[in-house]
Amino acid sequence: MADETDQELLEALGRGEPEAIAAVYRRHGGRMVAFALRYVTDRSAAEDVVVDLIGRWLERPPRIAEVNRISAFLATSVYHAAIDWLRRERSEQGQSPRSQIQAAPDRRLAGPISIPASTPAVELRERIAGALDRVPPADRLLLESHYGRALSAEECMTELGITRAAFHQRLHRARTRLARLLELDETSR
Amino acid sequence: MSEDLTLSRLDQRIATTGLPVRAETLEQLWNVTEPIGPTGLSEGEVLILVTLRARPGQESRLHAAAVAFVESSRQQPGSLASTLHTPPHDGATLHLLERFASRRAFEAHMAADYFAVFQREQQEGMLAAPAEAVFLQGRR
Repeated sequence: MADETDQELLEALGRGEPEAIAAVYRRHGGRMVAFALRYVTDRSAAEDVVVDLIGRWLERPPRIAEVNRISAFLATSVYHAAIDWLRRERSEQGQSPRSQIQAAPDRRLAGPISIPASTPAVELRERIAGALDRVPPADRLLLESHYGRALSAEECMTELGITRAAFHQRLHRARTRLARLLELDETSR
Repeated sequence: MSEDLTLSRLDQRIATTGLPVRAETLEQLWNVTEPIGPTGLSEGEVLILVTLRARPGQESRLHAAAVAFVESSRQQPGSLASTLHTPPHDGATLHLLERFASRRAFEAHMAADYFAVFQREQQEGMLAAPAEAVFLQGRR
């Protein structure tokens, strides 16, 4: 499947064709592992995340009906797989599966990996998502970068082109706004 | 309620459930992520994806043989992963996903007794079609 466009590859992936899965890995595997490496500890773990994801696709072809760019599809898929892998690892190590996880999939995104149905954690995540929708875009970007994408302060500063003092000031402001919105939601329930 | 307490509760909530990230944010990050290499494999690593389709009536026999093969394969030095994947709505198809640390480890795997046993079992009428295999090797 060397000549297929990414769109054709995506469609073949949605049909569960093993050759398409291999072709995606051949074409995008280097970036998939690099992306997973943003969330897990080392390269070996990142490779495991991606191979686990391939295994899932073999069992259950991903839903791609709502996706039209392979970059969006792979970013979401690898992200969810990495977070899932972290949860499993921490659970196996006897730690609370969620105690140290800074990022979690957004249930509103129709990702290829299923998220448990309604639970207190899911309801809380939805409340956080609702509050995030109401913070200013710049605050949201910073919160997503620092907590959701697990970027360090230095990485956020570089990406946003701001000083350390500005980073801490903006992060404090964004956290305060989000916290107030959540508190307001909870007191009005 | 003091600001510190409010922020502390926010941290607890984020630690409990995580912070949702939008698809477009992830895609932006994807677009600035440099690939770690030409493939997702470390140099020399080997990934094999094999698809096996059982003849009607041979499904459980093929499954049992594949499970035994995977269990043996996992004991092989240099085996990083060996897993069996069954599509839930297609009992006749099995996907075998194997990863080895090196070409040499993969060749030793193919030369092992359990590999020959599984090959022989497949040739004894278990398959509806020849096995399909995709081979990938990590390179610099």
